Amino acid sequence: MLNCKQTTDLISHSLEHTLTLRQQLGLKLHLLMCHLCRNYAHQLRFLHRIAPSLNAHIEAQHEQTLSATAKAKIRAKIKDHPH
Amino acid sequence: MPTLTDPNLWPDLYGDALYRHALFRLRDPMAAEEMVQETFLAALQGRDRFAGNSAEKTWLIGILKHKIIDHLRKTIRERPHNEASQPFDEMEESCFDDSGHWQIKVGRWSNPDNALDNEQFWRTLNDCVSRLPPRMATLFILREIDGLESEAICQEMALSSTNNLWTMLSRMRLRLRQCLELNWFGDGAK
Ligand SMILES: [Zn+2]
Repeated sequence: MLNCKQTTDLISHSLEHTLTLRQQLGLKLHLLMCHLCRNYAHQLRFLHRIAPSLNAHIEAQHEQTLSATAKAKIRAKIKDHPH
Repeated sequence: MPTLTDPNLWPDLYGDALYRHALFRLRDPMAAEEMVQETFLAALQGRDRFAGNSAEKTWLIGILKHKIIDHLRKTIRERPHNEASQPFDEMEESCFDDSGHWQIKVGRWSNPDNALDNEQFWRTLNDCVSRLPPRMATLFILREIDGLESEAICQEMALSSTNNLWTMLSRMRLRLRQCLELNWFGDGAK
């Protein structure tokens, strides 16, 4: 019988590769009995599904900017560069 | 011959966009600044190779991406790590009891999709990624953002086997879930 720790690993592994039949069976059995791991499985699949949108959201928020000092420093480097 | 804008204007025109891209991937303001500077200097050097079949900004972002990959490779190789050699880390110890059963509450998240329209949610998720140990944050970027396959990630991160990679991914996801539970979805979060 799998414990919760082993089950969380299998849930994560199932996002990476096809589980063996034995693993699939063990996972199914544990999830039938354990509502905490069922919650965990839903949440991991949710995170895996939405994560690829994170960079678009964060970069579109335009919150971080290159400081004026950094810009000035870079501008000076560009000027010094032999073009 | 395609024309480029005056390089002296680049920091003002593209500095912020390049910086945000680098910061998202590296989670290190100093390194991100350095990458932007290196990108502009490399672009200056390679100005003759600008083909003009993409926008200037796209061309610069392309150079930046290569700089970031080089930087990641370098830091990964310099940073000492013990891969997945330890059977448990502190985080897992606090989650599971000695028999491997949950000793924390794994609550149900009601309608998590509702969070997706809330920009504050994305900020929270981003902060959770920043709080991961550096190697795990890199792993998050390569796997969940870039969608790289196992073999490619093992190569980039100098991991000796896909088993180690899968273990690290599982730990990374455990931490991220926990952070979101505490800071967004859980009873105590709002
Ligand atoms: Zn369980």
